[in-house]
Amino acid sequence: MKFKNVVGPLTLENPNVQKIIEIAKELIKENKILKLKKLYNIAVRSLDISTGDILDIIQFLNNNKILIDGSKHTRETILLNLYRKKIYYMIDSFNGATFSYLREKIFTDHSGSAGQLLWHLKMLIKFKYIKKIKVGNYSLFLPLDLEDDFGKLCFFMKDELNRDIIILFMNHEKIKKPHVYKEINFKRENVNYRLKILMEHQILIYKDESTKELCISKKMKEFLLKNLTKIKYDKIN
Amino acid sequence: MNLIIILELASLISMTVIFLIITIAVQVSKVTKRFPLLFYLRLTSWFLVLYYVTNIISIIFINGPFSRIHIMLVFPITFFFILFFNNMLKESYYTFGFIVSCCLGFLLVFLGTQPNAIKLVIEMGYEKYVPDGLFNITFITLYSTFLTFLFFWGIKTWLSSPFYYKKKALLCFTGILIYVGSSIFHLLYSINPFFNIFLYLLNLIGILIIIIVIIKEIKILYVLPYIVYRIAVRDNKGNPLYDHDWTEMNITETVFTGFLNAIEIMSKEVMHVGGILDINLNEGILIVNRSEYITVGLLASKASKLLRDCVNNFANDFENKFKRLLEKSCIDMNEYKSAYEFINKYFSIIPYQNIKNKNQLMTLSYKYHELPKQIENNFKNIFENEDEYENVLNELIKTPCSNPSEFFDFYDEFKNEINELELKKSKEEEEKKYLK
Repeated sequence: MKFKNVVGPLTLENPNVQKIIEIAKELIKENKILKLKKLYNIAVRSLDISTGDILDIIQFLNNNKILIDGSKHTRETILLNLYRKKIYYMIDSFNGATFSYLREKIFTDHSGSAGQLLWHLKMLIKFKYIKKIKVGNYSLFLPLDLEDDFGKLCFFMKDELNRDIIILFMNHEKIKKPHVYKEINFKRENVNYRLKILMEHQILIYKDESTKELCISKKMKEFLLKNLTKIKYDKIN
Repeated sequence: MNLIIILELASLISMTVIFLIITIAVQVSKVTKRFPLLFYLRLTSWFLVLYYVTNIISIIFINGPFSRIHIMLVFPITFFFILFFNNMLKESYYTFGFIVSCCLGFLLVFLGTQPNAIKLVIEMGYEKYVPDGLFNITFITLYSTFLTFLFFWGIKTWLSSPFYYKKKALLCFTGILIYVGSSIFHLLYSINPFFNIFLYLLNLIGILIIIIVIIKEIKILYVLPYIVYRIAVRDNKGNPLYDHDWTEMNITETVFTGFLNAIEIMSKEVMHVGGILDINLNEGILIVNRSEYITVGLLASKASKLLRDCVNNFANDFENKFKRLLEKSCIDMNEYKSAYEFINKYFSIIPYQNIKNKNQLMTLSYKYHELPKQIENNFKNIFENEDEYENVLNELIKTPCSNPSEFFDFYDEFKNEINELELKKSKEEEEKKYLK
């Protein structure tokens, strides 16, 4: 890739370009941090070319992604990556999302691999933006400040049948299982399975063990009363 | 001839010589020949030389016609400088400032031919022709317009120049400021002609500074006062062929080209082959050029005539050079990498914005860090796309306390899910094919 003559064409093979790379390597070895000013000053002292040419070489190295921005990632800077930002806002606004959902929504044009998505998710976890929990076979990514139980609830609410069941319990203080089947006009085995899952996750609990009356847990009810209108119901898969 | 007149003439002759040298230097420079934009600046410079030469002649020979011509030359100076300014900054030549200066210019030429346009005065014991009445007012107004445009060009160049030109741009702006600021003595000149000498001396200092900066860094003349982000080339089927960045934008060429595809669908009806279209975005503008085989999109913070011309020329050269590959519908981006020569040819005036200042922290890319081979191989297995692989490894070296094995474990957790998704996707694609 020819660019400009600086004692020969400005390519990676150019001895002056190589010398500047060597200086940068040395500086990184010594200090771990490489300030552009320091690199420039040392290059001016040790190379027999004009300061303008040195800046051209530095610029060339930067354009070719050999010399890159060296500031360490911080909690603030990692969101400068647009994909990461999109992933975070999607997880935050939907009160959690699964991997497959994100895979479909983030790289809508298949422009990124699953590996890339996982890399961004890992970075968001590392910098304490999100957390990962397991719900059955699903791995669920939640905003860090959302309690796991509420995250699970929001996750279940994304399923239409679950949502109908939970809303039914919101409207009734306690219901017996057979009444649930009647109220929810759906296959009995499906409703039964959903009730079992919701009870496993302590969203529905027995109001009275002896009468087998079910109700929604107090904590969940309070959360739903506050947030019911805010929860976005997009399909999980 | 008294000392004052000698000083005045010496300053004028020095300025003329300096202008002549720089004008010839710019005229013969190979770098500037590549940019037609500088044509107007060269004309401005030639007319400035004439402006000073005619002034010298009119003073030495106390010549009326030369004095008139000297004043009238402010019209072409202003005219061509505004053309240069508009070409660089505006989307068309015909701006309000241009029209006003044209009107004033024609008025100046007309008034200059009138018998009472100039008068002979005695200044510090020496006879001299000076403009009079409306001719003088028009001259001052037009010259002030030129100075205003010069000032704005200087300040915009300084503010927009990348860090490696910043100091020189500031110096150049200081020169312009001195040159423009010295016009205050023009007002004092009406009180006492003695002040004219300060005007010329400051003009000389200003011009000297500007010219030293230009000689040291000619690129200062075409620092564009807007940011150009990216150029992308795609074929007519929507495949990305070439991509070049001037800033660190966190979008991949696939996303950007996907965006271009959408634009293409929208613009097919309004764009003919060879057509060029500006699409206003919230924070910039997309200049799209459509030709027989390719669509070129350039994303910038602002459109200008110059950019449109550059995109047009780039698209033509690209298509001519790779015509054979394009006819074969080759979509291997590596085949088009040599298009960099056209970036250099048409866009070398565009500054890269990746480096902001000299205190910026830098590091070498992952290639120059000694990462264990095993780790590199693991990443290679996960990221088959070269760009993704490079970006991730570059991020890895910038992440404090990063342990790659944590990521590998994390990836392994999702391996089954990824496989399932891939399987589902391939099934869906097969179904689609079957239905077709």
